[in-house]
Parts: sequence; C-alpha cells; structure tokens
Amino acid sequence: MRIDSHTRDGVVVVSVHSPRIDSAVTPQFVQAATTAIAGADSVVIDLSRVSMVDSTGLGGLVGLRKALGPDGSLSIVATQPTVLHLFRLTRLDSVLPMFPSIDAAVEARSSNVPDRR
Amino acid sequence: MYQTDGDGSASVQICFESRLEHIGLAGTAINAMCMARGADTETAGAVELALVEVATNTVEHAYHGVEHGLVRIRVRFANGKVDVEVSDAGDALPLERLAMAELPPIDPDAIDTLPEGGFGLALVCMIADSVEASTEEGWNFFRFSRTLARREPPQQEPG
Repeated sequence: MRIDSHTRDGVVVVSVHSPRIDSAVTPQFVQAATTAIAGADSVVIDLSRVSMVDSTGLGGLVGLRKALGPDGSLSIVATQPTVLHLFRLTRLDSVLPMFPSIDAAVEARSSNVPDRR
Repeated sequence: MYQTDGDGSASVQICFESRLEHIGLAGTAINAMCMARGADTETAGAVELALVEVATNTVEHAYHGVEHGLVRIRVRFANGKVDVEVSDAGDALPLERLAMAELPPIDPDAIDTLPEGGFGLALVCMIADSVEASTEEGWNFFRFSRTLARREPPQQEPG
C-alpha cells in the first residue's frame, strides 16, 4: 500500500497508488491516511488509480470521515466505474462527495460548496 | 483447474489457504475471466466484488483468521451467466444473517453514526441474481449467480 499526500489551498490531498483497497491492505491504508490527515479539516482522497474497493475499504474511508468530526469534510476522487458504482450502491456518495478530479474536489472545497450534491 | 465443455460452457476451480492477501488474486482472476467471456467492465467488477466479499467472510468468520483453512472457489460460465461457489470447512454462516442482509442506514446529518461495517453480505445480495448458502458433510457452500451483461463491440470505421 503506497500513498502520498500534499496540501493544496488548505485541503489535504491523499493519493492512493495501489490498485485495491481491500481487507488485506485496509489497516495499512487507514494507518497511513490517519497520519497524513492529522489536524486537517478538509480532506480529499484520490482513488483515481484504484480499481477495486471492498466493504472493508469502505469502512476504512467512513472511519476517516468520522475522525474529521461533523464540521470536517472528506471528498473522494474516483474515475473507475466499479468504484463509482460501489459508492452509489451503498449510498455513501451522500456523505462522501464524489469528484472526477483533484482539481474539481479542491475547488469545491475551497469555495465552500456544500458537501451534499 | 480449467475445463471447457462442448456446449461452450467453462468451469474453473481455484483453491487457496485462508489468508486475506490471497483473496485479491482470486478476485482479479474472476474479473479477468468475466471479461474474457465478453462481460462489460461494470459486471466483471461487480462479480469480483461479490466474490471478494464472500471469500473475506470465509477467512474472517468461518476460519476466524486462522491461515491454514482451505478456501475453494468454483466458477462456471454457461448460458450467459456466471455461477460462483465458495466453500470452506470452517464455521457455518448463520442462515439468518443471509436472510436479513441489508445495507446499513446512512444518515448524512449524523456523521458520528455512520456505519463502518455491515455492507458485505448486503452488497453480495444486491449484485447477484440469486444467492444461497448451505452446509453439507462438514463443508459450507455459498453460491451466487449473476447474468453477464455484455460489452458493446467496437464501432467499425466506415469505408
């Protein structure tokens, strides 16, 4: 599991460079992401290189969102059809806003566009 | 093990030790098999996800994380659909869990109550056309079927 992070316009962007977030790697992902977003209010998780997320990975992402508290925000960048479909199917796209690019996600957050779309 | 029959059907068997890191390989394999049988990307990904969820359930709950259990997957392609059977010799899935499987509620106004689990079996039931679980002679079987939506053939250039 490899991730990197940077801050852009006050938003912490965490990019995942592995093709899967499943039960084998979710603990590592959550640990690394938790370190990367410590102290942040606005976070974007870039899953554009991820082609498969399972229910354990979903749980990890929800845990990260909850750790930011009710006033925080966690957006998802996803482009792969299977990942997009999963978030729609589970209705988690209602609490983890989805964007097609980091630019779009950061812009929405920077201009305070409401979470729910 | 891979076998094709005269009627165009094909079956594959995959066996592995009950370790979480093997599940991704099995998932990748079934995705590739679905694509090779003409399925579209979304269907292949959905079948992969369903298999991964069932196999994860087996490793975590049937074998409780013990790594020397055997997980056996049988995949059969016939009549435009895929039939998947995952079997194990661990603890059986309580049948009421399957009967009651549904997605946990999501309340966007109560972030601290968001569910971090409970999606797996519900996802399998949503993805599959049919699902069943049984126990026979010390082996637990989880079977699901899914019709393979076929991807569009590439457009021919005129002329």
